[in-house]
Amino acid sequence: MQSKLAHTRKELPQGALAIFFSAPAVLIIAATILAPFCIAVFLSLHNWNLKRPGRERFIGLENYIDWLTDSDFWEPLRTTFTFAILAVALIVLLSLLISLLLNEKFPGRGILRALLLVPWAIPSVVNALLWKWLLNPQYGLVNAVFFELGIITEYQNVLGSMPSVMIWLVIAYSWIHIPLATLLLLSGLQTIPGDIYESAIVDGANIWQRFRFITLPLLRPMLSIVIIFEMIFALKVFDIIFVLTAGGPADATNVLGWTIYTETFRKLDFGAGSSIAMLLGAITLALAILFYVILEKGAER
Amino acid sequence: MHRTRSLFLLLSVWILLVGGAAIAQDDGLKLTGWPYQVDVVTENLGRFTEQSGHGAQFLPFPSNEYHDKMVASFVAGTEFDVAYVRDSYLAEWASAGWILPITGLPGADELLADLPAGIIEQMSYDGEVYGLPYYSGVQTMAYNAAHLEAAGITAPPETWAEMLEQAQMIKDAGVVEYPILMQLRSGENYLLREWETLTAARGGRLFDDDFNPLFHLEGSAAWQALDWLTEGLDAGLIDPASLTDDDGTLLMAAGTTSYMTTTDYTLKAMNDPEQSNAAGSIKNALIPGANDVRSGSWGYVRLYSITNGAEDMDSAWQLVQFLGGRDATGEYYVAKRWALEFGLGFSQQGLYQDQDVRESISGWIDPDLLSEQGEYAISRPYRFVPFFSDWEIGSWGPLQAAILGDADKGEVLKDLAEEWNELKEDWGY
Repeated sequence: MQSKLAHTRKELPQGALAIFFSAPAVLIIAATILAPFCIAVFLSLHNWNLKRPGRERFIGLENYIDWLTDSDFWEPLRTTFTFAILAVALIVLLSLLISLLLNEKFPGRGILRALLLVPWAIPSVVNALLWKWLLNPQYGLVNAVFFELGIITEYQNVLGSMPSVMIWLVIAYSWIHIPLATLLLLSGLQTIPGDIYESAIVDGANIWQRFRFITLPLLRPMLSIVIIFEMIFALKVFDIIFVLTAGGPADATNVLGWTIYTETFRKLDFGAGSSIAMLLGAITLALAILFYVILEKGAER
Repeated sequence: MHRTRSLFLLLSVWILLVGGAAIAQDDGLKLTGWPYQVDVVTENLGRFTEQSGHGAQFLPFPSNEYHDKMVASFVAGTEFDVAYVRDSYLAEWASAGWILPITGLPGADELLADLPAGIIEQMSYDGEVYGLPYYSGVQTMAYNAAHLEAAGITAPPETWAEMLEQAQMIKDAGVVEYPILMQLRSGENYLLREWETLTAARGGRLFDDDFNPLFHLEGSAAWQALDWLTEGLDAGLIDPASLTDDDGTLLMAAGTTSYMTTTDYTLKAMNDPEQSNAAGSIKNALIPGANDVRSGSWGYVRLYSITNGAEDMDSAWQLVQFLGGRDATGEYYVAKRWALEFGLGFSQQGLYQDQDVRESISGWIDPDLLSEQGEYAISRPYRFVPFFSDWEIGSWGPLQAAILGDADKGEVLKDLAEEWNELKEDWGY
C-alpha cells in the first residue's frame, strides 16, 4: 500500500497536483468573474449602444472622461457616499452593541443568536418588499404604530421627501446587513481570552475602561473586516433602491448602482454603463485599501 | 461486482436515452411576455396547436423585469419566436432589429384594415408595422362615487380646478385624507404618462409633429400641468404617495382614493367585489379639461411581435395572427376572450359589433363615456423615436424636483428641452 502511494507521488508532482485540484475553481472563477470583468472593461472603452447597432467603435477613455466631467456622475457619487457612510455607521454601531450583548451569558442566548440570522436569511429584494409594505403611507405598519403612539398626527409618506427617504432607506438596508456584521464581531469577541478581563477587574477597571482598553483594541482586526466589507456592500447598493424609490424622489436616492442600471438596461448604453461600473469598482477598491491601511496602522500603534 | 457494473451500465444507457430524448424534443414555438393569466394564455396556445398543428408554449418573465430580461435575452440571441411588446419600447426594440415588421406578410393588410389608424401608428416604427394588438385602450378618469356623495358632490369634476375644489370638500368632510392620486413615480408607466394626460387635457402636447419641444414655453399647457400638481400637493389634496406608489389602482380599490387617471381596463378589477372594497362605487368619467378644452387623453397598445430569434417565420406569423387577429374559424378568439373574461380593451372594429362584448363591458364601465374619451385621445409620435426613452429616464428626477418645488420649473423645463434637442440632433432627426 505504502509503495503504491509512493509511486503515485512520483507520478504526480506536488505542483501538478495543486493545479489539477484547483483547476475547476479557477475555471469557474474565470468564467463567472474574470470573463465578465474583461468584457466590461472592453465595453467601457467602446461606444456600444444596443439601440444603435453597427456603430460600435473604440473610443479609448472617452466614456470615463465624459462621466468624470458630468454632474450626472458626481451627484450620484455624493448620494452613494452619504448612503454608505450612514449605513456603515448604523450597521457597525448596532452590530457591536448586539454582539457585546450576545457575548454575555444569559438565559435564551442561543435562541437570540438563532433569531439573529432570520433577517440575513431573507433575500434582499424580499426585504425591500417587506419594508415597502411597512412604510406604505396609506396602510403601512410603521405609520400605524407611530400614529397610535402619538408620534405623528397623520400618516406620512416617508419615501416621498428628503431627509426621511434616506433615513428609512438606511434603516431598511441595515436591517438585513446587521446579522452578518454581528456574527463576525461576535466571533471576534469570543477570541478574546476571559482572563484578561478578570485581571482588569482585579486592577479596578470599570466596564467602559474594559471596553475601551481591552475589547476595542483586540476586536480591531475583526472590526476592520466588518467596516471594509460593509463599506463595499453599501457602495454597491442597488436592490433596495430599485424596489423602494427607483432613485427618487427628485433623484434624492439616485446612487451609482442605480445610474449603472439605468444607463445599461434602460438606455441600453452598455459602453457608458460599463465605464461607470468600472469607476465604482475602482472607488470601492481604493477605499477598501485605504481603510485597511488606516486600520492596520492603528493596530500597530 | 459484475451485477453492480451491469446496473451502472443500464443506468448510464437510460440517462443517455432520456437526456437525448429531452434534447431532441421539439417544444415548438416559444412565446414570452409578462405573466398575466398564464393559464388562459396556455389554454389559448392549446387551441392554436389544435388548429395549426404547431406546438407552442408560454414562458413569461415578471412584469416589472420584462424589459430588462428581454434586453438580456435579445443581446444573448433570443430563443423566443414571439414576444409581448409595450408601445413604450417598441421603437427601441425595432431600431435594434430585435423585433421584425409584419408589413407585407400574407393576410397582414386584411387584419390591419380592421384596426384604427391611431392604433396602427402606435404599433409602427419607421413606416413599418411591428405586430398585432394584444390589448389596447385609452387613459380615462376613475372616481369613487360614494366619496363624492358623502361630501355632497353631485357630479365628477369637469375641470382640473374643479377637481381641487371637490377634493377639498371631500377632505373637509373627513371622507379621505388625500382624495387625489396621481402617478408621479419614477418609471416608464408613471410620471411622463401622467404629465402627458394633464397636458393633453389642457389642449397641449409635449412636442410638435416635428419633434420640437413645446413643454418649456412659458405658459404652455405642460407648464400649467406641473403648476397644478404643485398646487395639489402643497394643499394636501394630492396624495404624497403619488411620488412613490407603483399601483394606484390598489388604493382606489381600497377605498382610500377618490380620483385618479387610469387605463380603462383597471376599472374592471376596481369594481370586482373579490378584489375591491370599493366595488360598485368606482365610475369612469371624462378626464377633466381646462382652457376651454373639454378633455384630453391618449391611447396605448400592447402587441404581439415576431422576434429576430424566430426560426420559422411562417409559423411565428401564424401564432401572431392567432393571438392578435383571427383564429382558423375567422373569429377574434383571443381578443374576445380577453375582453369578455378580463375586461382588456381591444381595437378590432369587428369586436365592437359583438353583442356579448358590449354587454360584458357595461357591467363595470360606461362604454359610451369610454367611447367619448377615445375621441379626445391625442397621438404621441414623439414616443416612437428611439431616443425617447433616454430622454424620459433623465426627466423623472428633475420633473419631480420641479413639482415638489425643489427646483425652478422654468430652469428644469429649459434644461429638459435642451437635452431633447441634443439627442434629436445626435440621432439625426
